[in-house]
Amino acid sequence: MDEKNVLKMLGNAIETYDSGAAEKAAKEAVKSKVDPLKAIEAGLAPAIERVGDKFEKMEVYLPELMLAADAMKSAMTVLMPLIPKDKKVSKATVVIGTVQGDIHEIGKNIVSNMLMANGFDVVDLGVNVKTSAFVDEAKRTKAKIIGASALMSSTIGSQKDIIDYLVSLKERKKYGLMVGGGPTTGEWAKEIGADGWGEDAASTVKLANKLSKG
Amino acid sequence: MKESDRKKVHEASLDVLETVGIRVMSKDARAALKDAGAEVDDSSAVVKFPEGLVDSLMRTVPSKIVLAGRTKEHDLPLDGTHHYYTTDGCGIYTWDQKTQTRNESVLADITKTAIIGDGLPYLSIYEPMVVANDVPSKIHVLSGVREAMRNTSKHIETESTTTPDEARAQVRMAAEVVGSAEEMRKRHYISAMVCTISPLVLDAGATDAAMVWADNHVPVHITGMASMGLSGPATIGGALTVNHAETLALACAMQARSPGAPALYGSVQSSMDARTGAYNSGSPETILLSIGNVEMAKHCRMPCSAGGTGGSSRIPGLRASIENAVLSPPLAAVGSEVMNGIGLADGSTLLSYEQMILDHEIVGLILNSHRAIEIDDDSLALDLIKKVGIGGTYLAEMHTLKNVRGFYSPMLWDMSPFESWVAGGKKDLMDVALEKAQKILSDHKPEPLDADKTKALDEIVAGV
Ligand code: B12
Repeated sequence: MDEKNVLKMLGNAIETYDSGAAEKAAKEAVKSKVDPLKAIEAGLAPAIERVGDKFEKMEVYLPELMLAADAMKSAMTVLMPLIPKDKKVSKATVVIGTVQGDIHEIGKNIVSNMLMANGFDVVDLGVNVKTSAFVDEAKRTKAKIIGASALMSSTIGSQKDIIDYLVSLKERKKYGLMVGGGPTTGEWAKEIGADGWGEDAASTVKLANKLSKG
Repeated sequence: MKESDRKKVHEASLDVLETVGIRVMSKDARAALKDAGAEVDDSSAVVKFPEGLVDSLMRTVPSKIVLAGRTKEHDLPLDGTHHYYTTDGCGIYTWDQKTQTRNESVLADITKTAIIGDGLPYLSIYEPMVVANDVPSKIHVLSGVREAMRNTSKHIETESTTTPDEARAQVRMAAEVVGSAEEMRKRHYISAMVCTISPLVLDAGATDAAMVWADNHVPVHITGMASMGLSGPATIGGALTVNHAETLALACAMQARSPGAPALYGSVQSSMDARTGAYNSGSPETILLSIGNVEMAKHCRMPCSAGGTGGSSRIPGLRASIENAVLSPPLAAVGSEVMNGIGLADGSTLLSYEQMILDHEIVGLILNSHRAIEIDDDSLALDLIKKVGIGGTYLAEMHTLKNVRGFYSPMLWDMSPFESWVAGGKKDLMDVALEKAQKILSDHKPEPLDADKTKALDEIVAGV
């Protein structure tokens, strides 16, 4: 198959929310010797962005977005191992989790999926994550961004703890810190000195794009 | 639902519990279930229920209980013939109507809403309405319960207990108020909400606490929250099934631990906003799910506290009132016994004193229109009809005088003409509601709690 058709096939698979087709298209890319990086950047990425745009215009719903993200992941599983280490494909690594004492994960999972689908390397630490674990994992994975979710008034304080901890280690500048979850607000993010607040998954992707550049 | 449909949901849930199982993060609950004959894999924490086990454990769940007040006049029999309303709980902001802003909620909000709640005739159960952001977080729950115990004699439902120690402390508090631990076992002065984590997980801390509640026979509102499309299937049948399986599993764990431990079918299911996944508790799907929950509760003869008010309107007022006025009547009609939540907007996060009073009016209307129609000699009034005959009026009849007092009379509005409204300053209903709340707060004097009991509560809270 020629490159143009392979790229189209990849894009189609994402836009029809079809994981099986995405995997097949990725294998076709390998077979047809399409540069895997190009397959991602010119085939998959624009498609997932189109789905994201439709989502923002309310043309498609959350399930479409999640299924597109899954399809994206299926294709990536085939293509990623073929990309030489020195060629950077991920926009940045994001370490994300729900803070200590809090087990709400629905919103965090949506955000984490969307980030993954949009080309971020996401390390999801799950729920009830210790303050130090956010930072340790960020160090270990050379992450650029830390994302902390908190759904309760009694646990949002832990978002500030992460910042205080980074400051005490003199490493605050190394990471972009984004916070989110029900009781958090843009003001709260400012107040604790975070680098941004994500109201929902779509705005979080935009925020992460910004933070990964800065 | 048809009887055969309820059976299908029940059997599908048993199938799930037998083949998939449920992850039980609480060691205590797992141990109790293992002893009772469940198949337990401690490494994955998954518990499976072999055929017959669920139904046999469920046999000891009491089908009728009485939720007790601090005083006997506030006792609430759950025997399938009553409807009660609670306050909504655990909000995090308080609404300021004047500035149209929300502020962090504080302990005084719990004190005040407990006093107001005590004075509201159609409110039966007080649940601390907000989190007291001005006290240390380790005593959030206990200080809220203490304020409730002090300022209302109604039954208290406690919401956010996430450790067994927190449960133990509340058991001691309730025992102090009731008189003794033995008495408390019989008089269910407090009940506790325990959430499952959909799909198919029982959390460690909250379930450990549930074992403490079970030991002490504190009734537990088993609150499954499976949300359609998110944490449960996007169909009513599927979402009911996941929720039913979780509810049965926790009820069984409680019975395995302490046979006869009271439990309520306390689901608060919802649908997600299809676009963002946001929690949507004001949707028609929410109503259908709650109706299904009530039916499933009856199917397994559990007292039920499913659904009620508490929509998703971001601010109090018109939308919140529309949602609440629509959400609740069908539930009363199918016989939900305890209906949740007056007074919070925005998915149970925002307390509004105005909304509390508005919702109370809605609830008054609902309770008064969901009564059995009694037909007896007096209500038929045949003699009277013959006496008055054709034409004439019933106005000056003794029978009328006797019965007219029973008509529902709204708290928030009357039938005075438009001109009176203009003369009264064209008040918005929100303003009227706030004035009413303030008036109850200044005039109503709840039955005080004995000084020595108050002191004992303070000591328990301070000792944490
Ligand atoms: C579902 C739910 C649960 C489920 C959670 C299931 C799960 N697997 O996550 C269950 C039933 C288990 C649960 C348990 C509890 N809950 Co709860 N729960 C909720 C509920 C109803 C909805 C939350 C939700 O999932 N929303 C949907 C998602 C999509 O929205 P979201 O989380 O806000 O996420 C979006 C954004 O915020 C953002 N975002 C999220 N994370 C992040 C992270 C980053 C980095 C960024 C940038 C953005 C971002 O993007 C997301 C997508 O749009 C809320 C009420 C509400 N109105 O929010 C209460 C609520 C949060 N729970 C509450 C409570 C009290 C509890 C319990 C203590 C109750 C109990 N008695 O057991 C326990 C908590 C135990 C613990 N230790 O954590 C209270 C909290 C009050 C408070 N103190 O602040 C609330 C507000 C309800 C209430 N008033 O009672 N809960």
